[in-house]
Amino acid sequence: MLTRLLIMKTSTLKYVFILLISLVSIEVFSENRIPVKEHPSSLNSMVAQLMGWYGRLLPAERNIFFNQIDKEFKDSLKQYPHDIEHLKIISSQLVNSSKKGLLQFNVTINIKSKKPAGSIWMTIKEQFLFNEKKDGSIVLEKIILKGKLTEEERELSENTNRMYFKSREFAYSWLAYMDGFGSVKKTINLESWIESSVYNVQIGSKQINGSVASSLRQRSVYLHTGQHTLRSIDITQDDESQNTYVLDLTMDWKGFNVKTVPVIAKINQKIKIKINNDGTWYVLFIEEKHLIPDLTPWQNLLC
Amino acid sequence: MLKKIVAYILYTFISINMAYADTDVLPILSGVGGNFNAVDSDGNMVEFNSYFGNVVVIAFGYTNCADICPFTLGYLKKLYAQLNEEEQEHVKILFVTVDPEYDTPAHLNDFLNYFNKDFIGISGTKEQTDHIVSIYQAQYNELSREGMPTHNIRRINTKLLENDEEEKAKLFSHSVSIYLVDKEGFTRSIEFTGTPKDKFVEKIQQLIKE
Repeated sequence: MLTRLLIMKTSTLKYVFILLISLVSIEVFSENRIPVKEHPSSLNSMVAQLMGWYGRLLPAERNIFFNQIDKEFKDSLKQYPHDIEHLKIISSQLVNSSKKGLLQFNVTINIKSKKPAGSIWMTIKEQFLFNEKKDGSIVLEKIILKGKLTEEERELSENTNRMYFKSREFAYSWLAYMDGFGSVKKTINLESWIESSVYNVQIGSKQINGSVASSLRQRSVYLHTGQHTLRSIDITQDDESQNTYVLDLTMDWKGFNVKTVPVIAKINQKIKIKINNDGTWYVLFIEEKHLIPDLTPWQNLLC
Repeated sequence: MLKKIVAYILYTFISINMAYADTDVLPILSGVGGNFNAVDSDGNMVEFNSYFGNVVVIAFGYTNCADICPFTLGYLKKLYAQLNEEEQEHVKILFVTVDPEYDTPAHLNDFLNYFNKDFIGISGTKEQTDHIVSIYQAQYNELSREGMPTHNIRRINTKLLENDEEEKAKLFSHSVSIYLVDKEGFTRSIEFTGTPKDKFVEKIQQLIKE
């Protein structure tokens, strides 16, 4: 090969040189056009794990269970005070970890726990370190409790019980799955309902109807590569049955369609869920409607 | 031969490179717009998908509107004039009435002719109107249950009536947005009369070239 290159005419070598320059510049422009996210599609999965982590610290009620955690972390759970009555995430921040290849979530929580002398309040700062594996799965590597701050009474603004965290664990996992992040299947018990439950999607005048698996495939023509970001979540008990709930999610989506044209969406999903006797969640159906994205101040202006 | 192959590959990559260099691609606004059936201002049944291949600009309003509609259409008239003839051939300006009961195709046609003969009025049944409004996620409301005498309304043009009965019409509030739709029917931008015309024209030209 080298010999052949050496015997090429100088002019031909010039073309090859220009070609190489072009290839390098294409790479640069490609990166400009499709912004590469620092933490692609893994954010929802990490947040889902955080929600599950905190949910299991709260007292068991009914049959609300969270995704299994590795044995090594069960000791970490013991470091929290017992009998936690209330837990609220005050702040969370994703930062680049000083440890190579790890993603770090800094979280501050407020907890209220019951003691014989009365309830006490604590603020706890902690770090969660996640490892993004080559197959795209996110694994919790380490949790570091960074010390307990002074006891301080806080006002309860909302009831953050197990259901509060379970609905968020489910929602963030579902979003991660829609982002193409298959390792969360078990968390949402996906295999049991993806082929059997109905998923209706309305995108303007387009209507997609079918099973969850089928509608996701058809939907991916319009929302091909991108990321869902949860904007609001609400869960209400269905009037018809004690074990049935409606999860109302509003999310933004940014990405590209199948033809690599950029797409922006604001999506509302109403997910009807039945809680099985064993505590797993079964999705009965999903209704999705694409709303007008929040882009301009005049889009809702009437005259 | 090798030189030709290298030159061809080089040309191909430079073309791709230029395409990728366009960093201002307008995003598709998912869920805004889509196909609908209606009646145009020539009285023909139309399907929105029949405009595929053209860049479409859509505004909502009604002919008795004394506020934003004449202003919007005046704006669109100037906007359209900034396009050259060849570009105009690839652009359709649609004005969808929210008052199809009053705005017959013929009246809509007369009204739009004051601005530009190329502009297309879109009317239909109330159900068709509601469908168009809903897919563009626009809004409109009746401001009065009873109609008011049209001679009290400051209007662009009066309706030609066959009899001398006092004519009444309703007043509406409606969205002021102007939707820019690409050649495949995807909404790519939502503008209003405050958008600098040059900026809007650039977006239209960009979609024509796609």
